[in-house]
Amino acid sequence: MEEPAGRGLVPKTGTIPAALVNSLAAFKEQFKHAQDFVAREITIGVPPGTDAALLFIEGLAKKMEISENILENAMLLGRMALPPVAGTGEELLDLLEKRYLSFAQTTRTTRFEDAVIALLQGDSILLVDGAPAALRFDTKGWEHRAVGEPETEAVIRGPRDGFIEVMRVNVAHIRRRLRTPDLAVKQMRMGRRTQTDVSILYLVDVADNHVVEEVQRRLTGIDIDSVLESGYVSMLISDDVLSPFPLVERTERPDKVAASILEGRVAIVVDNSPFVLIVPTSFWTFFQASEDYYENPYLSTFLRLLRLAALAFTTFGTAVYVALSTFHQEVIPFALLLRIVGTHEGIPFPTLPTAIILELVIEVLREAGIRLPSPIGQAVSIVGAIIIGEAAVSAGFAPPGMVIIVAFATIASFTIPGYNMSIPLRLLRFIMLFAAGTLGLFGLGAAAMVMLIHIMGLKSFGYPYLSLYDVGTMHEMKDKIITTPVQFRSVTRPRWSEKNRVRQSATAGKPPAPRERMPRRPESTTESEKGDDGNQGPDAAGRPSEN
Amino acid sequence: MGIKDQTLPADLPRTNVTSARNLLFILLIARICNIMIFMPALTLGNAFEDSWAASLLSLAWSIPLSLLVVWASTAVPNGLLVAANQKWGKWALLFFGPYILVLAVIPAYFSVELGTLFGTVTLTETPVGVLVAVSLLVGIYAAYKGVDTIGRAGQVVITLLALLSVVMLLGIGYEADTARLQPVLSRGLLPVVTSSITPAAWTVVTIGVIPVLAGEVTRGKKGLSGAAIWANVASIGLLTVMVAAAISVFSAVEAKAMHSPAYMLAKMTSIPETFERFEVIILTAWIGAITLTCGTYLYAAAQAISEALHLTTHRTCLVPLAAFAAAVGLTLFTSTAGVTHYLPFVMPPAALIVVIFPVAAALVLRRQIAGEQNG
Amino acid sequence: MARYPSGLRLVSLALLLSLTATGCWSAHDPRDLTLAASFGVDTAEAGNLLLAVELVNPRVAGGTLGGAGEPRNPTRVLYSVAQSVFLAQRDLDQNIGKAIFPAEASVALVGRKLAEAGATPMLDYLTREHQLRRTISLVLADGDVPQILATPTIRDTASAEIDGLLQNGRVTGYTSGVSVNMFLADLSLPGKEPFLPVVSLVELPQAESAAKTPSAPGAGAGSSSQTRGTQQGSAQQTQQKPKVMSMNTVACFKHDKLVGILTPSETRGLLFLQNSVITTLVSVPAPPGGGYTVVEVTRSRSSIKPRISPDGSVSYEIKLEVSAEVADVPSLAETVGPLARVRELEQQVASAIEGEVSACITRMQKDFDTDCVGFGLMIYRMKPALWSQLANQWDDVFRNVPYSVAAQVRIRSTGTIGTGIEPRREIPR
Repeated sequence: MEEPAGRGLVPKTGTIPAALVNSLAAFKEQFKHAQDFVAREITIGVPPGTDAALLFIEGLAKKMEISENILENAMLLGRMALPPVAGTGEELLDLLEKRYLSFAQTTRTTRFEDAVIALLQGDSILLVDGAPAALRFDTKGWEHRAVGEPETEAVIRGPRDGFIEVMRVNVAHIRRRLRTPDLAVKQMRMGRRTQTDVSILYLVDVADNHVVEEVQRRLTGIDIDSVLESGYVSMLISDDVLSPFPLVERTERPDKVAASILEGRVAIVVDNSPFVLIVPTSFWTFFQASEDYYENPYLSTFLRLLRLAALAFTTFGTAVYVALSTFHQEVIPFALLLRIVGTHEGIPFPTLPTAIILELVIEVLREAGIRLPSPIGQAVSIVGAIIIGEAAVSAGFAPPGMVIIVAFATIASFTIPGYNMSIPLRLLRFIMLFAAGTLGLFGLGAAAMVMLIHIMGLKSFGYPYLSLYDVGTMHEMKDKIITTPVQFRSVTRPRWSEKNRVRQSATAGKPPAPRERMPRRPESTTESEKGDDGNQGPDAAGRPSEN
Repeated sequence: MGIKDQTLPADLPRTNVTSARNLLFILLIARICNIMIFMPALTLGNAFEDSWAASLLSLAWSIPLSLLVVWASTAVPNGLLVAANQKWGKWALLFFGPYILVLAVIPAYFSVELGTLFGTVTLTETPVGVLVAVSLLVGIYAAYKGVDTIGRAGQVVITLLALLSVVMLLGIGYEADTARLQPVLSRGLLPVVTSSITPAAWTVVTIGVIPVLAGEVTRGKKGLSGAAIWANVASIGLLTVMVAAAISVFSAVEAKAMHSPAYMLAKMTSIPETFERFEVIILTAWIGAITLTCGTYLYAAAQAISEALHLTTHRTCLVPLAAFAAAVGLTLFTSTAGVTHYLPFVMPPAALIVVIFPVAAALVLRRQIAGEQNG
Repeated sequence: MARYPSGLRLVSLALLLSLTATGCWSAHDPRDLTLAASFGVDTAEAGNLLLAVELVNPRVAGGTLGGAGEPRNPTRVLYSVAQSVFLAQRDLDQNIGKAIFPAEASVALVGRKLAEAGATPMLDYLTREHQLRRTISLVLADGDVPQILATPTIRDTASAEIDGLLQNGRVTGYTSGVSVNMFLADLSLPGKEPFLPVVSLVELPQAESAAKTPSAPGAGAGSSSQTRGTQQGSAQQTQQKPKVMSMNTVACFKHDKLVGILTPSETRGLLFLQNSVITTLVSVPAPPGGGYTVVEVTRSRSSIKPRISPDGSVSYEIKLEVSAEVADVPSLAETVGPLARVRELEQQVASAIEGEVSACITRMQKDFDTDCVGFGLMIYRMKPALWSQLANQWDDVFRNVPYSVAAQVRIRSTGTIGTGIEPRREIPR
């Protein structure tokens, strides 16, 4: 695969010195602070032989492979009674590369800085005396987490392999699902000191060229010290980083990434991060869970609508309660209003401060539940919530109705599959509370309008973030608000791209018509002579019958 | 004539571009604001029980008027550009001034109406100025974001308003006595005709924003006229239904005496024991519609000025325009006299300006317009 | 791409936040409210108006359930006197600790004396005040308004009781709810005058048993309710027979003045004409054995048609279509099985209904001089040109206008049994 030169810091440049003494000294000088840098000096060939050195960084390179495939072959060669491997170092290098060293991925490097970067990535470098070049073996291998269920996006039905922190493995996960040569994988490195590998994946004949170019333009434009996680990248390429709403999607699930690539979007895999970025994105993508597509469509439709209702409730629920009970009591039915007024008696604070305090308490509980180790974390947050809620009501600090609404609004925010969409809603909730507590439903309406206008003005790589009736999105509503069985899903792709939009033929998805009667067993000749079934069923070729 | 599907390539970064479909939503929002707030107070004026017939008749007035405005809609931006390119460029503002003034005063009127309505019925102790300021601020934000955003936000608000209107009309169903909608023409035809002029005049004024926005629509004028016709038909239909509902629920005499019969209709809507005060919900939805309308007109006025002055973006003149609108609104309109008295005097001249202006500009500049359509 | 200029953001943010700093003007904390369930207006001395308000105690009526202690009084009735209704409401606000919240009131009482003088002061208050709704029931109070509001009721509040009575009216057929909107609409429609249901206090015959066990919280209210300024009636009221509310009559208005109250049977006639009767019981004498056969009307539709003769005079044709069931048979001698008897019964019921309707119209024509039925409205709707001629003299025309009433009764069933219970007289073989 191609590796465009990353933006790097390598202080020393130039070709690798031919003499082993010099090149080895240069490398040792470069790595003088790294005590895990290993330089294994060997001699190759019939004695007296040629000096060589194998360089690698302990911990990054697989020693087993080095020992068995490289060192063993190189050193054993000298023992065998083979044509003498003599000649210039260049020829020896050639022979080693093409004939004798049985290692899968071997390339030749002539630049010193490339060799240094390769070493830092985990490759091993073989220096041969007299050759102004080095062989580079891909011996990357280190301890990493086992592939497990993605923790932030659990499903009931669906694959449970999630991404890990190794880019190569992640790309392999995606490759396994898209076994087509049209899947383009472009690599680059980002971050001057971290030299983090980044891959861009997309389908060549489906993805929008503008988007791909824009993604590459933005990524190559990043000039930063370190890229520690994909979050850095997503912030740097986001259309509007100051907006609370996420404009770059991220996920831990390979099936989601594969589905997005099939829709024409672009995936960005960042090394050292299990979160893969997907652009462009829209508001609705955060409300779609993978299992919506695998499970019963009725259930999925119901759940989607439920999520939207939960979205509204989590943002506006407490604010509406405060607005109605403080400014517009006449909206509340009489019996309910009696309860509210009755339970508010004796509460020390007015409605708005009480609501804010309760919200903050719940946020604290939620954060505490995340940081604590799992077994205790769940218990503390649940028990804490219940006990604090009960105590607050009994002590008369908070009206029970408000406690219920605040707690339910918080829980409702967990139904949103895209976690980074629930974050802005949690924050906006406070703004809505302030607006409602100041000017009642008028303030709430104005704040909601500001939020709506803001969302409508967002664009992700040129595509509008949220649009209801914009052209071309109407038939995609089948996918956004409701779900349908595979056969009825859009015959064309969603509008992430203009190219290659047909993804299933209109009839191919239909199952063959069921037979009306099972074929008769040949019992007697007289019966089969009398009228045949009208319905023949599919013929031998499997095509549906004419009926 | 349907709405032409105007698709946008994904890479267009301009926020000022809109499509005919979005224009439809913008126009719908503007018209429905007009209906919801001012509606029968004007339409019920003279025709009493026949006001619903009057509102239907205003459909007959407003369709040709809106077609006229649409036809002339490219004239104004062209005129501004042509004038700006002359040596006397900046004096073009004097010429186009009244037009831009009408566009800037409308948001003032709308926001004051909304503020007054809220200040009278729900937030009685809050100063009206605060409510006007808040709605203007949100309007400025909408205008700042551009007309594309307004169109898309309008989609949501219109859907909400349509659903609420349906709920409202169903909810007052059992309070309504349709027998009150007879008799037709009990007072002769003249009151019906005169009553139909006001909604038509308002139609024209609210469509007057098209000439400036038209410059932004990337393709096709057919989509424009389709959008304008649909907006009018839909809104006049809603107006007729609302008027009929008001008469059948309250009786014509009562309905005429009300400041805002649409609001009172919402007040009558109730599903006992569950849904007691529907008008508060309707009022909150109106905030969305009014702020978007204010945003549209502020945007249009700012855009006109920026085209005349060769500015790169409309945002630079937005704040001064909004300040002007606020000042006008708060001085002229915040008194009972302003609300009920000025309107009949303000409306006909405003309608005249908005109609005559683009038509005159179209006639003067017809050669340039023809050149644009061909090339 | 879109970096907001920091100046604009700061300014707008500052403006918005400054709103919170100045305080929330219209915020009424729910702790500061007391809810009014119903209210009533009547005249007081020296041209003033009396406003009586029934306030609900939320802790008792709506607080945390299962509160300890004996059931306390969920409502209190307060009244005050001032020059106008709004002034009286503010006067009450001055003298109790919380602000009165009238928006949830569902019943408004009009005092009789006020109605006779002209109910406009109250009607204006009802329509202009934004908090009150037009869907609340308007009821004429034939008696002392504060006392009516303070009467012991089976429901929690007097307003719930009156609402319940109006609901029952659909079953009994002697009363019908009139909302403020209906009243105002009738007032403004040409050719029709408004009417209102009437509530009055009557004594229960079984006085002793009612006073003994105050089981429902409302029942105890009678003995401990306080009305500001009236007699401390606790000792007196337990001696007297307790009173309950009753609604079985209707009051007729001319414009906004009360002109008279119909008797119960005339009321039913009017309600038949207004199509407000859902079910009602009609009793006719049962010939052979004495007593009364009771027939339940299950459905009734009336139609009023004006007939205009060529010379311009008007007469009316009233038709009623009634479906009924036999409900109560007094004796064995009354056999409702045979068809002849059923037809006869239908005739009897029809004439009973026609009598009530005629009595009602006659009373309105002769005694009250007001057209609550809507004869004029019929003409206005069908022949607006004719109405514009008659409008000025409609009072005279209505006084003498001829009409004919024809009721057609169909008895659909006789209940679950045909003939009555027969004691066996002989032993079967």
